[in-house]
Amino acid sequence: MGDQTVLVVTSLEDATADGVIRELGARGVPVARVDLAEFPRHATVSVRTPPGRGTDDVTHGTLCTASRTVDLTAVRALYYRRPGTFRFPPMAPEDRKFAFLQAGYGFGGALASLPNCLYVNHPARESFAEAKPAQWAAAAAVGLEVPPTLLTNSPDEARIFAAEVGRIVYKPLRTLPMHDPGGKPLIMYVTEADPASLDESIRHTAHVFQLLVEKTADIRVTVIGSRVFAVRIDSGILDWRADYTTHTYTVVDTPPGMATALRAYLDRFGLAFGVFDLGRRDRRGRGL
Amino acid sequence: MLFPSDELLPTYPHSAHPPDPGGPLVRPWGVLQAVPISSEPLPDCHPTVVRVELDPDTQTTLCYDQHGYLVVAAGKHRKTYEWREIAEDTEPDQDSADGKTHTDYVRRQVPVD
Repeated sequence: MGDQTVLVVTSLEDATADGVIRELGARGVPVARVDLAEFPRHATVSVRTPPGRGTDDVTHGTLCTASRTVDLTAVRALYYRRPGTFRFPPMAPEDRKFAFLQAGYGFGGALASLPNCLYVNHPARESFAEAKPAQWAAAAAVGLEVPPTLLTNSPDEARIFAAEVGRIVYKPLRTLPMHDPGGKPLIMYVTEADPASLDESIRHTAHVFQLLVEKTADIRVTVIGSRVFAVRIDSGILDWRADYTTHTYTVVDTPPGMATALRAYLDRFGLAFGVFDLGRRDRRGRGL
Repeated sequence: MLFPSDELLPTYPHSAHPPDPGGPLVRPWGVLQAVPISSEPLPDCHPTVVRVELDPDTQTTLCYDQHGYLVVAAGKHRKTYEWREIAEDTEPDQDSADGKTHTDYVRRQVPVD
């Protein structure tokens, strides 16, 4: 494809990416869509070192999908939105490990090294930004208030924390698709943790506990570049994802100070885009 | 993912921390906090997508139902009904002394353009 292509790295099932692609198409922006799951069988990448020295134009190459051929040096922006993972033809387990690592550092490395490309977001930076301790540090640095929080695999520390702060919630560090023995999908909401349940099984991996903050509403803030969009969600429940029928949505203005803080937060991670779930309280204050 | 799973790392026969030390299965405390998704079942008229493919021209996803028909996504969310106060004349109350109709204001959903 010609200059100024936007490369969308996402799964075929992602409806949000479809919305972005339709809007780009309406604006006449050339788009190429690729999923990591297309590599290596349905996508081909070739990258060469540049001729000569002293250039920052480090990646010369092409990406070929079933419907597009993309000059990687001409990609103006890359939208990275929940892609699948590499799919290989049948291989021995050891060979598959090898192929997976090569694909990650090769195909993934090529997409992560595009010159003069706006990443929304860069996958490596986004991966680091998903670490909760890094989030808490960044939030505190830009002036956001984080409720008392504990990350631990120590049952004793968990019990001491609960005794110190009062009512607490459990928050998974990351979520993943889960199913019960019958195959029904499961989900982890933010739930209040019963201190009496904090037993030795906490030892088996990392857990996050946080003070249960009494909130009057949730505020979801979306930041893209310098633009900030906020919506108030009144649900009356601890985790609004648990029951969408309870919601009332109201578009609200973001206080300038808050918008500046959130933009600074993303800048610390080198991110163009981020979504924040904030809790609104009766007294003046900010919270994550 | 900040650190790779051990499936992608080499293992050493004499490691002090073998990948699986054996013994009975344990479950982390957090995994027991998972609950069934509390979503309402989709209405019968909701099409079931059984196949997706990429539109080579637009680079958007084409979804097909079990009959092979293209499932067309709705446009932007749009309000088609709204609540309004509507004046309604009631039937005369048989016990009413004057036998006249009365006007009540009721809230009903009405279509909007």
